[in-house]
Amino acid sequence: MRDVLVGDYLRSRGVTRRGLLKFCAATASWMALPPTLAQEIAAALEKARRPSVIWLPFQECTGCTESITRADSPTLEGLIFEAISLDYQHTLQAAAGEAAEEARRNAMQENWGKYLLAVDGSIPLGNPGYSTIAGVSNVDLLREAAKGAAVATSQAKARVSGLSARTAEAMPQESPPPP
Amino acid sequence: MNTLAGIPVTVELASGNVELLLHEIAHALERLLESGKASVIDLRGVPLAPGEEERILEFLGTGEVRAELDAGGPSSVNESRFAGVWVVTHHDPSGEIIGRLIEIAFVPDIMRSQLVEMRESRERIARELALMRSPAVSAPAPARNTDAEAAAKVLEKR
Repeated sequence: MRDVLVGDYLRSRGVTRRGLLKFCAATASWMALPPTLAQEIAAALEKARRPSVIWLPFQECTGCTESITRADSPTLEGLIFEAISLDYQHTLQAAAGEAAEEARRNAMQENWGKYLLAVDGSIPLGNPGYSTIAGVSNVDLLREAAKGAAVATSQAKARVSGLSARTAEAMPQESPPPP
Repeated sequence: MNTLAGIPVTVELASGNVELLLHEIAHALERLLESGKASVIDLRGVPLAPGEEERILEFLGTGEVRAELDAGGPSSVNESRFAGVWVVTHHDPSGEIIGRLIEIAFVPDIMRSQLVEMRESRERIARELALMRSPAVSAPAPARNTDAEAAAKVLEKR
């Protein structure tokens, strides 16, 4: 499913290329881009694939996950089947234990340098052993996942004070080549 | 007693961009004729005072081509009274204007048939013609209910 191009997917849902061009013309206008870029935006969008997303929930209240399961625009199923490929989120995914960790490692390897990393919850730094997943401390898991991420984002920073600073502290400064 | 409306002051807002934009259209038309290069101007991207967009549209007027599209909401394509100058207005499904472009082109981009859909059409038309050529498939004869007939014969014998 992740290999389906956005253009093919849109056509399968009845969105014509004229419809896509129109969307891109309006998007270029909203973003104050030259209107001649609409064609290029459409061409790039058609060739894009759904991005792989790895979501690491650490010491969190599951509020973010609860919220997203109740979202209606887009719905959770619309989001994970049409917009992104959610390859790891241990609260939502069916796999558990080693199978879940293997899915994460596979997704990281296949999408090295391209996947989006979402993080929520706090990360114990003083004693990393306070919170571990599959025997790996949160901070080590974050460092490993962040190495190959194109973008990393942290949620619920208002709820979990200091998360952003801790996430930034745990993040590597540069991306080494894939393992 | 004087009211605010009674004060004889009228404020005319002008961005000064109307004439500039019309000159840009004129230059773009010249470029199209000289080099074949089309241009697009996003009317929403040009700072205009209230009423100035209407002034531009009024100046451009309407020509002999008008087209309506339905692609993710209605869109209208109107050739202005100047051949080669088109006004393309996009609406969202609720009718709100989401973009208005002035295209200086032989044909606006959105009016052209799209290659990817033309290729699909080529395959579809070939399939449909192949179906027309193939002999009509005769409907299968209704299956006889031999079990029921056999049971009826047994009952008759009894």
